[in-house]
Amino acid sequence: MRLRDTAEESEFRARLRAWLATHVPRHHGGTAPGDWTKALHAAGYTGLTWPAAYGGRGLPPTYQAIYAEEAALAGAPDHVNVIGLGMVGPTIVSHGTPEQQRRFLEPILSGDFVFCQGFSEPDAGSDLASVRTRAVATDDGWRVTGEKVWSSYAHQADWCLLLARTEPGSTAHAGLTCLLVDMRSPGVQVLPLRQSTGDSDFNQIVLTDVAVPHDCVLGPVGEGWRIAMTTLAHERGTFGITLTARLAVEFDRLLGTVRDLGLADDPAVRADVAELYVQLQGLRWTGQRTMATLARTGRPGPESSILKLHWSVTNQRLAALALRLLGPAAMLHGPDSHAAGHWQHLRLRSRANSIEGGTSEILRGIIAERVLDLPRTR
Amino acid sequence: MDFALTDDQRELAAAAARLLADRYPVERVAELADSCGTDPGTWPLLRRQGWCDPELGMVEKGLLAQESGYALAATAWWSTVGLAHPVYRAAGRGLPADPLTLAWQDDPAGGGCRAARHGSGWQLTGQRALVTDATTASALVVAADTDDGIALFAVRSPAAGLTIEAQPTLERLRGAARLHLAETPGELLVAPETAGQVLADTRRHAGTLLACEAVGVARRALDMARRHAVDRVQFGRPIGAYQAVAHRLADSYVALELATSLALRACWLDGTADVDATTVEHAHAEAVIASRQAAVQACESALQVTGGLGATWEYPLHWWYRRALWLDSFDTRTRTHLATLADHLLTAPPEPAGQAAG
Repeated sequence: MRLRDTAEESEFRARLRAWLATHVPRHHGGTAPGDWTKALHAAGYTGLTWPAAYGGRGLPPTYQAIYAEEAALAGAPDHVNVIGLGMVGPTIVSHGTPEQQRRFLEPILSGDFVFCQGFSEPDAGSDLASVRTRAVATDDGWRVTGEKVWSSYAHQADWCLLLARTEPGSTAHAGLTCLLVDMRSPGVQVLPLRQSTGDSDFNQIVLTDVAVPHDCVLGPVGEGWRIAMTTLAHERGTFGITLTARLAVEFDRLLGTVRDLGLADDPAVRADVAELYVQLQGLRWTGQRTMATLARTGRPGPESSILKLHWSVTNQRLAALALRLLGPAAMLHGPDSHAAGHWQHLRLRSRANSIEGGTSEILRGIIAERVLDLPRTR
Repeated sequence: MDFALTDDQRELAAAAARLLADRYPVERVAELADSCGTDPGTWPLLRRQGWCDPELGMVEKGLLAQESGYALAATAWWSTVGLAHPVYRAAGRGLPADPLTLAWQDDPAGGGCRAARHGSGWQLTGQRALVTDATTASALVVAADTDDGIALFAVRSPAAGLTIEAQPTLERLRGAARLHLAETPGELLVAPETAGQVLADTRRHAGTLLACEAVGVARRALDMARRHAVDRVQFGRPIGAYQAVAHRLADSYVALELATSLALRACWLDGTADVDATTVEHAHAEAVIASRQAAVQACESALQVTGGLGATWEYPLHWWYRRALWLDSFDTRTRTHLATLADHLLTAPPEPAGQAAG
């Protein structure tokens, strides 16, 4: 047990911090999203934990955690290819053919291939195994028709990792296959989804007779559920650390708001802030325990299942507290409101935190069944 | 960064769990608690297994405290190792082999304890209250006021002028006692120049171990609830198959894991030489707050899930609940710990978020 950076980790952190200080774009709208990915790649900060044989740096997961912490601190923009690097790439490393590995991995690292993910559907949300998007066999491969929703980055993506039903008449987990779909194929239409905040972070993808060649099937036909679960497991690995690092930045911003509003001596506010801090610290250090288990065994331990669940609870609590601090000024929105409406926006946005990436109900069910060994609740 | 237990640490915890499971089956815990009994027979076994070794690390002690809470072991180990040994160490003394404790708290009704020179030694007169494991201790470390400030003394037990009066308590396995001292001979361990700091450090050290104990209590309560949720059938299904029950237990698990992380971290910082004092103090506060909450929540959820059974005297869960309530109230209040953190967060310039070394 060693709860601080090693000499090598300190050096990596210091260099990264210095690099971020000069390279993070001042205004996020100002540069094309792909440029940031390319800059990161040129500096060697993509694929930190990927095996060296696939163009990565082969570092332990702790380095990915350091990147997540420092990037959040520096206010670095979201990596446009976060799905490619964090989820699709590792899945191709595990399940792709050598030809697919040659074709996709290097462009994912460099940002030339931006990926999105096509899993959820209008009628397949928490019940993901009920996907209906169907792929019909043709001489050249498959023809895909269906509708996907809640797909981040689809409007910027070159490729999509898609879960489709390849066996007619199959139900639930059987008969599904993972496909790599070129987003420029005829029949692919991307429509933005407008959220309650007014933003459009997600998209709907409509597929109409989209041709997918044989060499774009990822893993065996009919084994799509297993492949998709590998992809989601990669999401659990270091994503908790990223979420917690961003939460820590919001918490520091909250402290600034408390001081700005002259509430730093209010006993009730002080108690709320301290309680929130304990939750944040609990998340931060549980994330580090998860990281250590991952480094040791190659898979995240049972404690990793709490990170996303408790992150959403804590982020929602933070947003609610911040807006309460504003008092009547909380009803204002727009550039003239406190912090340009940051807290109003976060309050609305945070309610989706307990939905996206697995609802809190699904996550509690996973803890109950897989960690506590309780009977199935459905 | 490597927040994982070593194989040796894992083995130590597993061996401790085996010893305590053998020594304290649940009927034995209930029997001892029912009779407010003590179990001095375990002491030599703990010593033989190395529980009192002077070179035992703080993380290792934390793991033993976790297992003690899980088993609800009726031993004076925490009072001895957590409260008394740090004072002996600060005094540069060898560690006595027998159970010990520390008496520093005032009786809520008032009182206090004074020490005066008597010949070449000291005599103590007054009262100390809420003393844990007082009846099994062969010596008591007593905090007493001198003309130069508070100092720490060793008092043999039994001794002339010393009366130990048991105080009835909600929690029955650790007990509380009021000490009456009347010109009782005491040996100076720590002089007033450093006694205040030694006492504060000792309370923090012992409190960090209690955070670990609370983690063990939470884990046991969750285990009991889980077993009941699998075994108990209503409406034709085990009640654990109902989401209202399963999700409540999942939330207990969340609180347990957060507390586990913070308690182990507080131990590591407490036992690491070159960590600054404020970091140690804040980590301690975080661990105590989170672990108290986890223990109480896990017990109360378990009481709900075990239904009518959990509401009976015979079902042993209430003994762990009583310990959780003791942990929730012993020594520094939660609101004081929260105030310490708020001072740090809102008065000092903000700590860099995500700074892993902190």
